[in-house]
Amino acid sequence: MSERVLTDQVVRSAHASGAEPAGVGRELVAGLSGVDAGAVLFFCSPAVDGEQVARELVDAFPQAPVIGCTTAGEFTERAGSTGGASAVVLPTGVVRRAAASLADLRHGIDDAVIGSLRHIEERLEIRLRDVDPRRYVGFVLIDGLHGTEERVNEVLGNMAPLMSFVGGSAGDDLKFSRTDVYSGRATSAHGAALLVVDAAVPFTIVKSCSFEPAGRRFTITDADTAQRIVWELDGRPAAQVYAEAVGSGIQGLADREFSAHPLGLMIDGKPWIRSPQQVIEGRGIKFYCQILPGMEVELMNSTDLIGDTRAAIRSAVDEVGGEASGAVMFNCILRRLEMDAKDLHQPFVDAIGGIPTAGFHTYGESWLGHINQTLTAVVFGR
Amino acid sequence: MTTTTASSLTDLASRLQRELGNPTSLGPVVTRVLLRTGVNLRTPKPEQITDSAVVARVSAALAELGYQL
Repeated sequence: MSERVLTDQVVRSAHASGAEPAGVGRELVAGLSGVDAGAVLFFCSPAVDGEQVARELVDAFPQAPVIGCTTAGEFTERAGSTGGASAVVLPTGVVRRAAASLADLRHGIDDAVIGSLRHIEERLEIRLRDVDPRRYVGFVLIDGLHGTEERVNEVLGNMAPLMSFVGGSAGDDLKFSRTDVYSGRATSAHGAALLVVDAAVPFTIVKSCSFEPAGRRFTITDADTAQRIVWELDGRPAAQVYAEAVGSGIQGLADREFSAHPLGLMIDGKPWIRSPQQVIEGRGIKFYCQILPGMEVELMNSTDLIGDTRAAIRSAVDEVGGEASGAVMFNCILRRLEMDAKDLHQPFVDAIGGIPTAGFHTYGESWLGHINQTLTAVVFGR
Repeated sequence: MTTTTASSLTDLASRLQRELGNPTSLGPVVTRVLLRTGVNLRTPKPEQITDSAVVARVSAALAELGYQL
């Protein structure tokens, strides 16, 4: 059992609305100042100069690793926005040591991720495979447009099978043209920013989605895994089977049906969500993450996004001893779109319960693998 | 060191548990395997337990994770 250092140092978060894009970095630094930083994470709209924000944070916290990415919206425990930025400082009382690296995925995922993890291992003088997963946790920010999330997560698992890497895919305010990730002063539009922290306090992982099984189970009988397309469910055209299950015709399948009725891969009674994106050639369905042939999945019905989020965060706070010092959160863009449609942004911020937090709306979430329509988070205790 | 090939998912699961030692370590590994193969090593479907193709697939996923069982 690792020794825990009690601390009264709190995590500090900052938010900038983006009303003055050139001043976002200064605004964040002003909101975060006065903290003995162990690590810094920031999330900014593509409307903001992310490289400048990164530089200003690196200059303000030269002793701490800084990672970040572009978003499809960002939030703290006080405010949410699109077009702005959020950031969080994990102080040295929460994070004893930390190291970050940027994996450039342009020339191959495996070597890049392994190389970055080796760099982190050298900096921290540890072997990630052997560390106590109750003491070390990783963050991973992956560019959101190259479909590399599954493999990045697999390589992370191969290198550190017992350790959690939690994170999300960078966004670009739904333009789908370029997403960036940052580590220190380095930027990549086709990369992954990795951060490993040695926590001085207990922490837990949140994986919350607002769905329950609808009572229809399917087996994937034909799929193009690399393209994330399912061609057949139960031996029949996937779009036809799915449309029948949700009470629609294929022509009627649209974002509303897809968002309310994703598929869930059930693991120990909990759904790991795979979200449909579009019908392909009138018979297949393209998803936002891979589903393999032979997998059994359940059709899901949506439930109460805010109530479920609040309950998951409260449960996490209980797990870390009843009081949280801070959190970093990764919330799916499809959940943000539901929040847009139902005017739920303030209730979402309120559901965080005042825990100092920075997070962003993602193009995909990571924890042990790649998932959709989910909130993933790391909640730190005291 | 294991010298024979696992003949079933049950066998693989017990070898993995022995290798990991700590029972709480099983959870993340089982989840990673399920996300990669669709097979739940903790509660496999009866028809999967001795299916040699399924056993080989899970065995390969575990090997990639660093567990040569």
